[in-house]
Amino acid sequence: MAEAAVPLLSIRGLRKIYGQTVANDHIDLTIAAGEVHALLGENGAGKSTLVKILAGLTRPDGGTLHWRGEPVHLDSPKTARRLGIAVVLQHFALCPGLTVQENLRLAGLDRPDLQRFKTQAARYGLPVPLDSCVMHLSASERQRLELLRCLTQEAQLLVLDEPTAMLGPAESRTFMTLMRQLAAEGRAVVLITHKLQEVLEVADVATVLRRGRVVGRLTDLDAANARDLATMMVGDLPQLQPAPRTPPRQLPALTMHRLSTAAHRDHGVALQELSLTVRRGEILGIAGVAGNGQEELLAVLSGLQRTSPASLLLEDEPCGHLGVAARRTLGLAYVPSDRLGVGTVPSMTLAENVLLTASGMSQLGWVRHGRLAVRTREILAHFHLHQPPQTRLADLSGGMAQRFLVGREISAQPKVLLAAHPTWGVDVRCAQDIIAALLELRAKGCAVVVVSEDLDELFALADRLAVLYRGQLSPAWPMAEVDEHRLAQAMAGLAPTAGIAEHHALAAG
Amino acid sequence: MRWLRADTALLSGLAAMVLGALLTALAMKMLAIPAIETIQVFFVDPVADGFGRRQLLITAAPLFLCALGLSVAFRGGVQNIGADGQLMSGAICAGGLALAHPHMGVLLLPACVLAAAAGGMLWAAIAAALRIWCGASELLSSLFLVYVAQLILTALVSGPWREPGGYGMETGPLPDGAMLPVWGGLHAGVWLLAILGMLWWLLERHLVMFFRLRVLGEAPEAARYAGYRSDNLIWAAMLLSGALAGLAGYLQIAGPLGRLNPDLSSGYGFAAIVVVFAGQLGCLGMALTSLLVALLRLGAENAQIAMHLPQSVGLLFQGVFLVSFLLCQRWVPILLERMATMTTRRRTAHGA
Repeated sequence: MAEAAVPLLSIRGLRKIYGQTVANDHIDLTIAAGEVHALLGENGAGKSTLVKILAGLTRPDGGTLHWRGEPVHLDSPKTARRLGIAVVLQHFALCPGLTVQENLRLAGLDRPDLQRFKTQAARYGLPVPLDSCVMHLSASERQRLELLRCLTQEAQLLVLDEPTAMLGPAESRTFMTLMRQLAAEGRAVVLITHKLQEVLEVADVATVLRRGRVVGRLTDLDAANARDLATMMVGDLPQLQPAPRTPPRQLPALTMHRLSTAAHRDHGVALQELSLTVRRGEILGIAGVAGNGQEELLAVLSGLQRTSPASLLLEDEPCGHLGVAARRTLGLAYVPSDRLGVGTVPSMTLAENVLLTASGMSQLGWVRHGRLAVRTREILAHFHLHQPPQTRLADLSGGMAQRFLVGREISAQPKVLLAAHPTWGVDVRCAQDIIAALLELRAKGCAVVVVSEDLDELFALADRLAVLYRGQLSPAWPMAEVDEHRLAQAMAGLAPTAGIAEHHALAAG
Repeated sequence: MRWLRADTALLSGLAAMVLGALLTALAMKMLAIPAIETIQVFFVDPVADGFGRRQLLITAAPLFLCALGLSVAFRGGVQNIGADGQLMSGAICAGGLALAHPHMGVLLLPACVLAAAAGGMLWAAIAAALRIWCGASELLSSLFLVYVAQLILTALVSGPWREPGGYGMETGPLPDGAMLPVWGGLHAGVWLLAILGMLWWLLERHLVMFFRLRVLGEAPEAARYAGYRSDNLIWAAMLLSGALAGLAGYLQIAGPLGRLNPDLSSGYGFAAIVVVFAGQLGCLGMALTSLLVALLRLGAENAQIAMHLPQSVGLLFQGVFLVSFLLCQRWVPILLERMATMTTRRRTAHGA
């Protein structure tokens, strides 16, 4: 590693502020030629902002960038490209209707470049069919195309945003080898990811971002410090407040029994034999790094995706084969993560948004507006929202919309409430209101399943916590038994898989 | 908020009328036709007497009926643009029944009404089935089915159904029992449609199916989340709009035409799309726009006779008004909003 030499890129005190959020806060980062530098962090840690700055798409609000020791201003993507910085975004910037060649022309490659493109493709063993339409290429072929384009344009610093997110295991491995090869040639590779395993395999240096700041940096990576990395990503665990709670009742409200799904197309995660029981009057938290099967789990629990009948029980009723509406009738309510456009229709009024999922608001296909208005007012009053029922939902602030959404689902008096990070992106007071409402629901005997990547939220709510990793679920630990080590290990996928057996014993007992 | 939005719709409608009039004047200038006389011939003469006004309502009726159906489909994001074909299919079914069984007595009229609705639904069902079972765009298939219906209609009226010893490509007159009764110079369809128009806002406000279609159109993910069966909703929207278009076909043959001919649709199914968008999917808006479109059609006919202007001038005016409506719908709210923000800014600046 070229540590004595002038680093390829050095970033000092980089800052970027969006309105009230500090996306990047005093980031210092040094990237040397010939190294694979991993940038780790949760969603919202500030990785994307940093990538956009490096690509020249966003200008920083403070700090300096030095390229080979010279101060530079990355004021446009062109400047970045001229210096030799190439960014491969997670969602490729390709025109699907054009052929590979046409796309390359569009990216500014002329005939001699095309020739070099072919040479590069042969050299790295990355075949790309030049005359195919991009829409007929697989995800990995598209990625090869983008990567080869960067190499043809003589990129010295390659920034790869979640490059393996769309790849299968075998393809991922090939890709890792390629990254090492590129580094060996004296280029620098910045790998943005939240997969620890990858980082350990391929990176020389890892920098961990959390909440816009650099919280740790590790060199000489090996399996021994995987846990350190995970701990850095997770951060300090929130203090448990031993609020007096009634113990959960023994009756099962929701039972998953060897719940499995197939992976969706070439990406997505397959859920593997999840077994877990949530009891009445209990809040179960499901933690995990994003992209480990959360979306899939929510889809299969809410009924958006169906499975075999017996793999999911609502109380004693097999419901795996039922759709959303039928599960709703059985007493399942769902607060989705996307509150605008999924959980609600922004262009409609609050009353209409109550009508969206509330039962008993119509008779023989005829809306009962009187009842609907009463129900809407009840929901609004319960959450101290002072808008009239005819307000458009889009006129509510984010926090108000979320309180409305939670309120609407609670008003269905469900037996099981499924909530995807219910306090995400709302202010503190609003989050407290929502947490209080969920705890109140728990006290009434409802079972609540909270799927979230935010540990603060999970610790404020959960009675037990399980971790989802690559479609597998850890045993659900009572909160008293959850410590940083255990959680970090499980979230990084280092937990012994024997957990499943342990869980079966627990469920049986 | 609600009032402001209602005002915005009204303002954009008025702005569209003004813009349309200006552009029309410009077009007249370019065509070197006398403006005052043309306006007189186009917009005043056709409705100068009671007969003309009744003609206006009779012409507007099938337009409005098609538009009501289409507005339901468009709300749900179901792009049924083949109302013209569904109209012809309805007319073929009802007309065929009436011609084949002229002696059904009092049952003939209701049977024809049902046949017309069924014919329209059948034609829409083909497009719906292709969309739901094969994933084919209903926009294209419903449009192409228009031509299929047109060819079938032409084949029938020039072949097996052609009036023996008649002059043109048309059937013989429908039996009296199949004709709509005439009350006060207007056929029953117009009266019933007026009542339906008044009830429509009630249906819009109260029918769960209409609500669900709106959800499907405005936020399909929310419809999925809420557990709505989008396939069923698409079926319902297609069948309803098809049925109403089929009935519009019946209004034509059992009202002003009295028989089937290849031109019985007069493009009403396509003009209805104009009516739906210019009327902004609202019942009153659609009623007014169908009257306007009907007036333009009558005006064009009148201008052809009185001023020897080609009928395409009428189409030109219709196009001008459609473009004005669409432009104003898009830009008037944006302009209003900009003006509002500017005023607030100025106020804030004064405050500070």
